[in-house]
Amino acid sequence: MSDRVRVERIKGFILPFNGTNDKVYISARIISDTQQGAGGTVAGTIRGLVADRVNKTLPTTGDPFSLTVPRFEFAKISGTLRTQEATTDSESRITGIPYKRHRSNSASSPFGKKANTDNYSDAIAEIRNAAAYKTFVQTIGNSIGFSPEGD
Amino acid sequence: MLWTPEHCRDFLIIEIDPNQSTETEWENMFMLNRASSDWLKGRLDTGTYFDMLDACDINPFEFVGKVETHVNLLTR
Repeated sequence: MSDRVRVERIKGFILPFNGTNDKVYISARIISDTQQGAGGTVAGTIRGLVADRVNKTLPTTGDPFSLTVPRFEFAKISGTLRTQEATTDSESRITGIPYKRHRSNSASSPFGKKANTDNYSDAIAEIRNAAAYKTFVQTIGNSIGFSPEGD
Repeated sequence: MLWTPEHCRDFLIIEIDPNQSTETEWENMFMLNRASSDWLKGRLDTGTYFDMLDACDINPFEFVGKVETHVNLLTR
């Protein structure tokens, strides 16, 4: 069971993996530096993992510009932090079958490439190598998922 | 307050616990997240998508059923 977490978001710019240059950014909603309430911890972790793959402002060099593409499917990282481990079974509210319903918070963020030479598999490899990632997944019950960019 | 995601794909994203997963499970997570996105766009037929879920030990009817219930609730 995941708690619905209210993640504070701000406007940002992302260089999409499908792009073939360093100039065209797409507007996105990215995770804000400041969070309050439930889920702030996991939101902060996810934000940190992709911090160099999202931009709060357009870069000043190279004459970049941004487009607004409604419902653009960015590559997405999603993480779940287990906040409380259940030790007794409780019944599923849907199927009625008893199981250990752990409590957890989850957050997700879109991300793109750092520069034109970057690609999706390199990005994943880099995130998996990050110290913050390793710390996050060390806790049993924390989970992480990646979804590719739509084309 | 009802929460509606930007895209239905968000309901179908699969996460794994990397600490307790094999490399195969990791690859399957990528495959299924790609597949769900394609399935929603009609690029992959339902039979194939459900077979892929089943091959990765996920009960497709249970997994997609939960999403269906949620979407029905939102659009009722």
